[in-house]
Amino acid sequence: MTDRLDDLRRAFDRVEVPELWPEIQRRAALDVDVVVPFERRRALRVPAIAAAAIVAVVALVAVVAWPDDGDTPLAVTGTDEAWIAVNVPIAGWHMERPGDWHEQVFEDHCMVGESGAVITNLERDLEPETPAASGGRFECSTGWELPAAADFVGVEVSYRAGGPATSPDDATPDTSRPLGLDAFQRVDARTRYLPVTIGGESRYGVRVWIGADASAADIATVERMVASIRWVSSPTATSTTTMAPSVSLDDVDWSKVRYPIDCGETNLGQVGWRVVDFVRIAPGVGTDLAIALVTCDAGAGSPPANLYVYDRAESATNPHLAQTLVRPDDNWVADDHVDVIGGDLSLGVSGYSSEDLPRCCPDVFATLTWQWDGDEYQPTSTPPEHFHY
Amino acid sequence: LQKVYEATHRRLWRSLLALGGDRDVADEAVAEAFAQAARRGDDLRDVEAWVWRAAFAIARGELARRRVSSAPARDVPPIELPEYTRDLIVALRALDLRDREVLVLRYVADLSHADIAERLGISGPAVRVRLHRATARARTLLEGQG
Repeated sequence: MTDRLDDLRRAFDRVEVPELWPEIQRRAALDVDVVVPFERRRALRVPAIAAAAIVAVVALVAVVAWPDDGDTPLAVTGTDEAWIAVNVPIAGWHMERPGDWHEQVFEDHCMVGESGAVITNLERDLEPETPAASGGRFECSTGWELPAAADFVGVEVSYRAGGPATSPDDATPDTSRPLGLDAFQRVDARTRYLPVTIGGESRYGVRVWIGADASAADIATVERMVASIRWVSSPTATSTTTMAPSVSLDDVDWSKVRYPIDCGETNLGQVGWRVVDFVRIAPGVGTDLAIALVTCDAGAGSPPANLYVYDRAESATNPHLAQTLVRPDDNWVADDHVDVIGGDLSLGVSGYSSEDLPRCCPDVFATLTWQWDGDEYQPTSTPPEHFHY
Repeated sequence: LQKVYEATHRRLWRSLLALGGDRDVADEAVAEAFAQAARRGDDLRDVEAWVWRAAFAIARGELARRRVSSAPARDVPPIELPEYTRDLIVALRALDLRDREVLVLRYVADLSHADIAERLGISGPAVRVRLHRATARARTLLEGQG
């Protein structure tokens, strides 16, 4: 296979490449405000599931204000394109977005370790804002260069690792969910911000941009994204179990679940954990599961993975663990997401062939797979031999 | 910027062609990425890395747009290539875009794991895992073709 891939490179090296420099110069000379294909709005595709949410808004507006991008007026075209989950492990966020909107995950933004994700109706990443030249060596901005397009909308969720946190005497209650736009503070004409407290920490925030000419459908989409936000990891969170006979897995606060994971301690204190990926899945009729890929928050290094399956919940903080598919003793370092195909699961993992190898550089790779047999997941892959620490 | 263009545009264009199998997408992504870089002037710290990220983002959007449009998918790559390489391109198209990207960046763009990690915004170990899995999936697809 590797030979054939190398052949691919040689074959493409023989393909003649067109001269594009004149076209680049032509485009570069255009006025910046001209809507270039890169940022042109796509035909609005309304997921069927979002249609109901949009109906009320459309009814009020009567006529949807379509973006004026110079193209033929767009029409609502039904599609089965689904909303998909967005997990931002480093910040502990989980939310949902339309499958065709642009997602940009950022880590260690600027000097304050700000991390999170930006979801927009563009087709490109936002670039970090260029701060005004002050001559300062460490000048930096956590803002973004926002597009001039008046129909631009977006949502940013973030977690600020550095900088001041909540003071001990500041007993701000955790922010209640679901989040709604009416709770946001207006920053400027198109920016609104909501500081969020989770587990007593006030380092979280949600920012929303709504351009002056944003369509009603896009605003409804932003509202739905904001309402879908929840958090699935918070090392500082403490369990406050409330007894209830049974609750839906949707009502579980995954940031307050006590996962069966022991991350040990360092001289800096207890090592936290984080949920790397989180999936809700229905592998069979009437079967509703939550899959959590959890690892120790070791910072550097390659902490082993834990893959848990929950099938019901006795309370909002006490889901029932049905299966543990990968445990620390397996000594696998996991990829950052669990693949779901139908009701089956697969997880890319890596490990080490011997203890002599540096922990940076695994040399054994595998894809672990499980199939739902109607009652539980059965492994359908044979993991390769690797060293167990 | 023109120096960067001369140094990198061929490799970038060929990588985008391998990614989507479509000359128009490669033309559009390269031209627009460099044009946007030109408009930003000196704001960009690493022009080459920015152009690569932007061009792949443009190509992703363009491919997604074409996928949902009424344009029929082309089954045969529109370029003259040895048959076994065409098989590989078809196999690449059956892969998830994320898998395809990492294969293209490694085997067509000839980038190091560290450079791939920077271009895709993921960690080095994640690149290794993804590359391994993508290679395995491409192999399975090729074997399926007999």
